[in-house]
Amino acid sequence: MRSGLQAFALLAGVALGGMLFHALGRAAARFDPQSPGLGLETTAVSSSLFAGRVVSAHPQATAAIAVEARAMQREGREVALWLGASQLHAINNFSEGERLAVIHANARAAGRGGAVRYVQISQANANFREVLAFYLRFRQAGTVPDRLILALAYDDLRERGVRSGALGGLSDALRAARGIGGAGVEALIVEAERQADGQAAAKAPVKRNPIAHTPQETLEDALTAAAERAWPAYRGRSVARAMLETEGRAALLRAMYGRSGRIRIDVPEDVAAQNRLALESIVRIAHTDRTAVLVYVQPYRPGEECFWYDRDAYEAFLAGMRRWCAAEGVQLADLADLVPADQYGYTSDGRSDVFHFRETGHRLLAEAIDRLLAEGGH
Amino acid sequence: MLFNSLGYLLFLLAGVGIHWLLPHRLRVYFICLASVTFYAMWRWEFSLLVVFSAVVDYVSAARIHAGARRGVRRAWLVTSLTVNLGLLVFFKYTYFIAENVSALASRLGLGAIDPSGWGLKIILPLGISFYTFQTISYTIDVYRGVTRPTRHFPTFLAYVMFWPQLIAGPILRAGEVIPLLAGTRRFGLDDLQAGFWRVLCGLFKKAVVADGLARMVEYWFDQPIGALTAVDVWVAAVLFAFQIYCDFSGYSDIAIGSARMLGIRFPDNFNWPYLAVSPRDFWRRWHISLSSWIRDYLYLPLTGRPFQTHSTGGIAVAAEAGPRGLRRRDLALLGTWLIMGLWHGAAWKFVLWGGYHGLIVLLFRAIGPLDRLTQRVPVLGWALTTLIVMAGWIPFRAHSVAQATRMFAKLLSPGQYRLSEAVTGLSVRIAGYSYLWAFLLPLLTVILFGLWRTLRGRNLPAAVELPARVAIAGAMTVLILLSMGAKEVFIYFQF
Repeated sequence: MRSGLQAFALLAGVALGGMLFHALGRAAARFDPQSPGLGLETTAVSSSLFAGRVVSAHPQATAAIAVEARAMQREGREVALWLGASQLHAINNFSEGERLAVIHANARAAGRGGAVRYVQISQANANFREVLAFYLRFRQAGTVPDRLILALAYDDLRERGVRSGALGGLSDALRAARGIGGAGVEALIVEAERQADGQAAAKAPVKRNPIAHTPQETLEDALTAAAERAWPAYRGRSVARAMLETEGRAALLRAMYGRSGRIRIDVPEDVAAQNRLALESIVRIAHTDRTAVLVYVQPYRPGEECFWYDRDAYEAFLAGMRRWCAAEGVQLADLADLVPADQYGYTSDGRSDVFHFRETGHRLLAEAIDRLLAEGGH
Repeated sequence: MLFNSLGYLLFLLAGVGIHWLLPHRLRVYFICLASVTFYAMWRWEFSLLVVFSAVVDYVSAARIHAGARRGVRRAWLVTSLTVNLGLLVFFKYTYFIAENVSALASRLGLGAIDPSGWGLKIILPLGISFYTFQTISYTIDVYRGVTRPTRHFPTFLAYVMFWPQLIAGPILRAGEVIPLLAGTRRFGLDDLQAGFWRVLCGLFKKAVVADGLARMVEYWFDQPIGALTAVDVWVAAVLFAFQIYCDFSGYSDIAIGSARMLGIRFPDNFNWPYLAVSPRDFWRRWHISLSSWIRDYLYLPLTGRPFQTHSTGGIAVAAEAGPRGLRRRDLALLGTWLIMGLWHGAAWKFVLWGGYHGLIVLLFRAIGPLDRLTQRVPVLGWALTTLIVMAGWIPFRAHSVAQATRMFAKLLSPGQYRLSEAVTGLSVRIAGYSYLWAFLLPLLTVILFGLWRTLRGRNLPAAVELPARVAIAGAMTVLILLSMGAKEVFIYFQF
């Protein structure tokens, strides 16, 4: 082929690529990166108000929630701090006006004249090590809750490690809890130091590849900003990438396991042990604060084979939890079958969503939790 | 300046445009100016260091050429080598030397020496290992009488600082590049489109493949050793093998393509290295300009055999030469490899990597039947070489020698050959994807290579080739645009 034709093909290809990218950008503009992680048609509710107060937030807003909780306590309320994973802040088939369980629980408590008010901190896939970090951060903000409600999501216990965001700025609280928290707090201190070392190494005077703070970086930032202003598709490239990855993963899953196939997953013993230590630390600290603890087994879609886990391992884990809670004076409620299966959604790869339910599920969960607290006199 | 950036794309287009608009006699000045600007976009003060290095070699080479007596010529050669290697050692190895002296002193009971208290803050100048080798080759070539020194300093400066090759090579000889810079270059659409195509391919390799794999590689190499199985270690090694290949050959493609757009043709720096059928063959195909440099300025002089004068062929060409003084040759080979390892980075893990490859080449030499078998049964040779090369990347990417040796130990433990818990547990999250890619990548390479070789040999009709080219360029453009903006530095920039 002659070079003129080759040059034409190259330019035409680049132009075509640009147009495809533009079209992809338009499609990505309608894509919510959070939704596939939560399941199809499931919406994450970032914050919620009850009686003019913020009662639900992401862990990064813990300090604000703690301030609200303190104000409630000053008004003579008892504060129940509710910690868990994405089930608490996600609503399937969300419509305007639908509310999270924490709002329903507050409304119910207020309706029955109860003193308790609920505040919630939740993060997707939060394991107990991270829940311990949320709890310590809440206490660091100067508020001691009267009740502690912990959602036990067996699925999240297989998550290794602790996200760096969970431990940032927590060193004082960790040191303060060292004496009372035991091994779980010690493990978090080690993890925080490890993460701090990593960050320090990244921030240390760079001997090699010091591209940061150079004229090139300034130029690149300016050009990127200009390109993003001028071309919305370029600005949304990371969302487009996320959309492709998500759809690709769904296609891959379908190809590998079939539309409704499940993969047997085990929770590694060492990870489960780390989470157990964290839970023990939470309870120790709570008992020191004279805070009563309620642990509930999070609802999951009935009829599913126990989140597609090894049922024997799951039953053994649950039996161990029951024994441990009884010995420690911790209230344990099994709410696994609380929400009917038709109240759950579907995942982006065409399988049933085991964890995230519609508003009805939130209402049922709120009623169950508030009933448990009311029985305890709160 | 990073090649995988919007800034560089603008710089390249503007540079190529201005270059071809200028009259021929001004082009070399423009290349100097553009190259200094290119380097100064990182740190302007270090561009003076490159210019200083160039001045030293320009003067030394002129004096060597003019020197009637051998002693004078040698003195100027030693001056040039001392300055160049001195700068390289100072900037690249001071911390390494200090840390090791400190550790040794502590071990000998002389008390701990803390190098961090010396107030040293040394920044490694980008590309110093590459341009130092290039300037050294010039002076040595003039000393050997292989090349005549150029009298025109801007042309020499353009050779040393030519922006496409300044940061990470290819390391080319003065005899190959200076005539091209000094000669008349005619604008040609063929060069322009072929160069741009190469740049596009390089960007694709870097931004899409290498940076895409980087996250998985980081995941595996950051895991505690105890959590890894032997299969995980292989997965980590294979993924890194493809990451570093796409990273560095992607850089080379952009360098070669950029030069081609200016009418200057560089030889290839990579030639499908993971299809090598023996370790020796691998070093004919991997980072060819470096291994050719090592061959001519280190290995062959150490063995006392005649050197070559081009940046192609790789170090394996020398290995094929006839045996003379077996022990000296083998020691020279091992020494060469250790130095080559250390060139890649001031850390013992790179020395381990170099030593590993040196020993492997020696082993193949020593075991004649093995060498012959790989030549007679190429598939067997390819499988064996691939395993050896992949495992060889472990010390290169590991955080330390200790981590590398423990990972090697996993590979040698039969009981460790099982699927990772991370994979059985998380299916297709990062660990699962890694397993899939580690399996697919070698397969895709072989398929792609086969297709490429088949198509290149045929004169396809335009009705087939044109849409195919449009589709490939289009797909690459979309994927590059999706991956742009990560500010990922090329791995070889640190060397």
